[in-house]
Amino acid sequence: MRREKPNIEKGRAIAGILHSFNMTVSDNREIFFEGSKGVLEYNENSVKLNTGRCIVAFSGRGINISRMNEYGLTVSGFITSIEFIM
Amino acid sequence: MLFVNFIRWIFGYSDICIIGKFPERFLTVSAKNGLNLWNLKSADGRIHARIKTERINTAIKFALKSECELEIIKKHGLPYFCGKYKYRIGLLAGLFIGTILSCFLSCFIWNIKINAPDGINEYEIRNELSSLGFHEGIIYNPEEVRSIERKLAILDGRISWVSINVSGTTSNVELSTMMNIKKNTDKKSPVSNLKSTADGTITRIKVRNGNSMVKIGEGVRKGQLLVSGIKEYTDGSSKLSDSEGEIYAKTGRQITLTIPKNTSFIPHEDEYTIKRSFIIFGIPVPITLCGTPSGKNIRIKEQKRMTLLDSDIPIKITEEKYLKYNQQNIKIEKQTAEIILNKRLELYKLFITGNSDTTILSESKQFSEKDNYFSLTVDLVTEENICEKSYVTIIE
Repeated sequence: MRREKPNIEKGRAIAGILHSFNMTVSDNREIFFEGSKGVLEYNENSVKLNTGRCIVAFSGRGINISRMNEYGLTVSGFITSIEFIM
Repeated sequence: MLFVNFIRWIFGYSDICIIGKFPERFLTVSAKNGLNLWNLKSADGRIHARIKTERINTAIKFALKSECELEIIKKHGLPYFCGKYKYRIGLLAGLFIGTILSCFLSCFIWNIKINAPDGINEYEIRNELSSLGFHEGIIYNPEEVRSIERKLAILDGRISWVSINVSGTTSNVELSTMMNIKKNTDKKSPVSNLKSTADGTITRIKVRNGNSMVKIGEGVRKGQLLVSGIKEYTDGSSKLSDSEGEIYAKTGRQITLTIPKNTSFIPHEDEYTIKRSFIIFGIPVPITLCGTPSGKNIRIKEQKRMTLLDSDIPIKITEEKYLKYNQQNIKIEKQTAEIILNKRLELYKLFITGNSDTTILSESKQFSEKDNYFSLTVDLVTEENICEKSYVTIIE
C-alpha cells in the first residue's frame, strides 16, 4: 500500500495558526514533532513533551531524540504508545 | 544524510554530556533559542548529544541558565584534525612540497605504451620514437606530440596511421599498418604460356598441353616463350589452353666461393658481471656496486617495468649482463681453405640437384689465392627444366 507523503509545510502553517502541535508518524519507528514547548522528561523508555495544551508522551524501547532544533524534534526508536495527558 | 555528516565533519562538532537534576530543561532552552542538537541519548540521568563546535559557548550559557553542567567529551571534525598537527611544520612542508612535486611531475610523460599490430616490433617503434625525441621523461607538449605522430608515419614506411593519446602521465601509441593488398591468386586465368627461366640449349621437350614454340638443339634466352597457350588453326580459328610440360635445356652457371685468409672467433666463456640499477623518473640509481667491467664485453640488457594495480609506474629495474670474451684470430692455410671451399661446393651441388629436376653434366674448378682471401670459381654445365608458367590475362 502506498503511503502518502506528509505535507509538512501545510501542517506547520496550521500548527502556527491554531497554536497547536503537529506530529508526523512514520511507522512506529520515527515521529517528527512540531509545536513542542519543551521537553519534560527524557529517558531510554519515554519522552514527554509539553505542548501548552497537553503533554504528549511517547513510550517504547530505545527511545531517543535524533534531532532537535527550533522547528521541532525527531523521536526515534521502537514506539509502543503515544499518550495525550490532559 | 551522508552529505550532512560530511558537512558537519568539515565544520567540526563535539560530543557533549549534560549533567544535572533536570537536563531536559537544557534541551528546552536550547530548542527555543535555535541551538541545533542531534544524536541525543539519555543514559543514567545524563543526556549525551552532539553540537556544532562554534555553538559550544552558547550551549554553556544555556547549561548555566538551566542549572546544568555541560561536559565536552570529544571533539570531531577537520578543524581538530588540522589543529592536532598544527605544530608539525615538517608535515605541512611535506604536504606543500608533495603537492608542488606532484603538479610538476604531472607535466612529464612517464609511461609509453605501444599497441603494435602484428608484423611491427614494439621495440623498433620505441627506438624510432626515441630518435624523434619522444621518450619517457619528456615534457608533454600537445603540438610536439602531433608533430611526432606525423614524423613517425613518414619515418616508418610500414605505418599508415599513428595516434599518440596522452592521459595523465601515460601515453598510448596506437598504430595501424599499411593495408596489404593480397594478390588474387585464387582466380587464375585458364590460359597460360611457358617461359624460359635461363639461357641455354634445348635438349628435351615434353609438352602435354599447348603449342611448342621451340625445337631440340635450339638456343633460348631467359624469358623467351617456350610453349604458347594459344593454338591457331589454318582456318583462322584459335584455341586457348593452359600450357603444361617440361622443357629441358643445357645451361651454364658460374659460382664463386670465397673464404678469408684470417678469421676471428669468440670462444665461449662463463665469466660475466651483472650490474643492476633501478630508474626512477628517468634517473638511474645503481643497486650493485660494480661498474662497467674493463676489456672486451658483450652487454645483454634487460629492463623490467614496475606495475602497481595494473598500471605502470615510472620505476624500471635494469639488469645488465657483461659477458667477457677474447677474440681469437686464426690464419687459414691454402690446403685447409681448398678443403673447406670444396665442401661448400658439394653442399651447393646437393642443394641445386636435390631441390629440382637438375643434373650436373660437367664442371670445371679453378682455385686461386688473392690478397685477403681464397676463392674457388666453378663453371657448372647442367641440364634442367627451364619452364616457368606465365598466365595470360584476358580482358573482356
